[in-house]
Amino acid sequence: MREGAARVRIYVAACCLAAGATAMAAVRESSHFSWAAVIGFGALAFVVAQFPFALPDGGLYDISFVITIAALMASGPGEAAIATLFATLSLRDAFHRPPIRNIFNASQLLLTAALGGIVYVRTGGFVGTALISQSAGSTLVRHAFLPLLAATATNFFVNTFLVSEAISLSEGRNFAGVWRRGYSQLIGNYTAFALLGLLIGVLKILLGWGSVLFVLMPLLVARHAFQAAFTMQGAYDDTVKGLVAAIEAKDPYTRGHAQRVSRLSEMTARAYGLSEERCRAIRYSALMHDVGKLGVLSRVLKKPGKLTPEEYEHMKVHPERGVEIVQEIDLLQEAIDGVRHHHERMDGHGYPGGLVGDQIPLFARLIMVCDAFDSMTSTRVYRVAKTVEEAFVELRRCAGTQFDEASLNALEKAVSRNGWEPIGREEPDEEPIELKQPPTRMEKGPTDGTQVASR
Amino acid sequence: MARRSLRDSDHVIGAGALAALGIAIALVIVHGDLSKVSDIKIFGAFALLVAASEMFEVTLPNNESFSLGIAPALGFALLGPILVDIHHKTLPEVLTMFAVGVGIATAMRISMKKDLQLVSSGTHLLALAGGTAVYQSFAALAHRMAAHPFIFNTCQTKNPITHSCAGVKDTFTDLSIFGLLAMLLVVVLIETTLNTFRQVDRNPVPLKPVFIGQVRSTGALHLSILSVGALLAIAYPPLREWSFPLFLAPLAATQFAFRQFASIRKTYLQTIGALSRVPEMAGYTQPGHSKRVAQLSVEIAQELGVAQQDIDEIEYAALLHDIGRVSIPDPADAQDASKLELALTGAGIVRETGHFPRVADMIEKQYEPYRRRGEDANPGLSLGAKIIKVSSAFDDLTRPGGTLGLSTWDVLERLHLGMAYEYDPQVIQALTRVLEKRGDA
Repeated sequence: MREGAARVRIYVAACCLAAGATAMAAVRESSHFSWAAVIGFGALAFVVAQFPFALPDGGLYDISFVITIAALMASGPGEAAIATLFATLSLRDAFHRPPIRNIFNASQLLLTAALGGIVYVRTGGFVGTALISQSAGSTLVRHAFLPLLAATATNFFVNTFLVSEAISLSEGRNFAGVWRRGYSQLIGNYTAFALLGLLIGVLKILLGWGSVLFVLMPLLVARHAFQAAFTMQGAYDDTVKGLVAAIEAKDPYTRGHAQRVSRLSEMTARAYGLSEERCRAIRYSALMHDVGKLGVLSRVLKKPGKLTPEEYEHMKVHPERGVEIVQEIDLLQEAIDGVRHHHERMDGHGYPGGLVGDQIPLFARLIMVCDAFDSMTSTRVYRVAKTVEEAFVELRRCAGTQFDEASLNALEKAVSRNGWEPIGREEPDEEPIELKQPPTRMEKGPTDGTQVASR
Repeated sequence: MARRSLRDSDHVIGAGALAALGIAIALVIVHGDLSKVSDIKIFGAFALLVAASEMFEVTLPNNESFSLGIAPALGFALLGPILVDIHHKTLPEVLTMFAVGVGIATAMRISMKKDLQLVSSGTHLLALAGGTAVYQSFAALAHRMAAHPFIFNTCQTKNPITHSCAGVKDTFTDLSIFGLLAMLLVVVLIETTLNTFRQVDRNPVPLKPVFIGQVRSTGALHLSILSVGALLAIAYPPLREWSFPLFLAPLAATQFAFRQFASIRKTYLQTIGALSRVPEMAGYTQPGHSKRVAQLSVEIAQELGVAQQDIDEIEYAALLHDIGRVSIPDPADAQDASKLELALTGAGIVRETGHFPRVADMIEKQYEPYRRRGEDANPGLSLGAKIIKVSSAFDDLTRPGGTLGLSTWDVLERLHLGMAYEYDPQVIQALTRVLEKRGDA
């Protein structure tokens, strides 16, 4: 660990030196370096940095990058780089963070902005009034848009690489993994923000500072509403998860099951190539796929042995009871179908519809396989969890008859991409008493979604 | 969404807006404001822009919709003092332009079979009239006192032939920030007053919390709309029609953000409502109990003048007040279980989610008496808990087909008897008023 800390220190020092050197180079690139512009844009960057987005996953995300680009357009790379420094003076964090983090943040932002600015100017980008005196479209593309794209790409890669490297050094994680998972999708946001920065820069050149304030005001209000929406989305997810967990607490074998199936289904849907909206919908569909079980008598639900035919019939109503609840929510129809049909089988022997193959809605096919996978990789009273490999071998055996092959492939892809830890294999302490009990049943009943072994 | 029927207040606002508009049109004709071709062109361009923005609408937290056509109209009103080659935009001209834009938008809405926003537009017209009048008085005053251009002086060296700006100047100094602030204030005041008037006319509840709720939910929106209008006013002279997309970008971002928020809020309430049915479905409680208790609790809270976001929390708590019952292994045991313990379990479930500590608190204390023998009223008991206690008791006693089968009147009598210790008299009185409004008592 100490060796790691030393490495981090060396890394931050190197960033610092590089930032200083490139900032000086950037200032030299500015033909008429203006302190007034530095102060003006610095103040804007400072204000914008006070209102970061708090993402649902806990990360903070500030958009002072917009101001960096605006300063680059309106004044030049030197002004942009130095104005960006003001963004690091975030009142909220500066006093809570260890100084080394503040130093790293300042130097990486400075380095990013300075390099981006130099790239912009060197690839032929015009700055200031030169930018708006060009009316021909081709000149604008050649001397504004293309250089801006180059600068944005530079900004994106330098910024995300520097941060990922810092995280991988300090937390001992793999660099490529950190970058791919945390930052690789941000390129779209960078481009959108760069265009907004271009707009603000041009407004400043044309109309002065007042116009910049009038653009920023509605954007800050919009940020406020977005933030409120994000916060509410986070609260929503937690609340639904909590309520569902409380509801399924009735069946102690399946603690946390719904939440894990929800996570797996979302990953699998993504690997299947579904749109973002559908991936979100399947998250809720999978989370609530078993809420109908509460409408099933506890006596049946917890019965240790094999179910009698009447009890089995009674058990079969639970997807419909779930639909009764879920259909009150404005979810996609698909999400409701996912709840209704998550106990179908590809060969038509499932319930409630006895649908065959492609008749089964896609959401249900995805949830079915994730449901079974999670049951197999969780430790139950009667057996220890299978490993991921064992689970896939078993699922493969039932592909086509019970599960949809394409969904299974997507699950395999998702698990190999994101990893999955079987539950209860490593931690025998979690439910020690139950684990030591002799297995009460060797075959899985229809309650836990893994009918695989019952053949 | 079901369309609300029009109330008296809507007619009053409509009549006011029409009267103002009639006078405005007459004045425009008499004065000949639109005699020059350049004036007509600008008028038409802005009317189209109003129509386009009027098609955007935002749903506010109190479920009212808010159309955004007022933003370009405010820009048009601010335009007067800066465009040198045309005369100032007079108040009648601003109102007429807005009305033409709204007319186009309404025609488009009818052809697209979308909900009309006429009441919202009428409110905006009156607010626009007040705001413009105030701003222009400020402008005239400042003009007389300082004899220099009032809003942004963006143009120092003007091309004598084209009247367009040749040089670029950086001034923020000539803008009358005070004029803009006064305009903002008047617009917010008029809109809030009219909307409060409408809301109270629909459901007579105390004025003050409704008014404050209105300011909270629309204040930030007005700020951004006025900023966008001011942006349009300063960007139009040099950029002309090119300023329109520039102006629509922040407006679209605002609309998108508000829409996102409204849709999540709606799903949230629906989901809590749906999950609140779980204890009923499992046979722990009577069908529809939590929904009815929630509805009644909301009405009582409104009657007592509780603020909107607190009402949201009371609604969540009322929906979930029986969630603790899912911990009972079998519905047959539901009668034996201790109510207090179930309330604690329910509160624990909500607390576990890490949000809404006050909702958990209300669920926990739903059975606490409002005061104990020989003590004063329990100050630790939130209003929400007391409301839920009353609504839940009321629903248990009146439920159709219930063993007691009491009439509403008998139930009220019974609750009145419990006022000494069990129920907060203030809440019981609110309940009585709610029932009177419903026509039940």
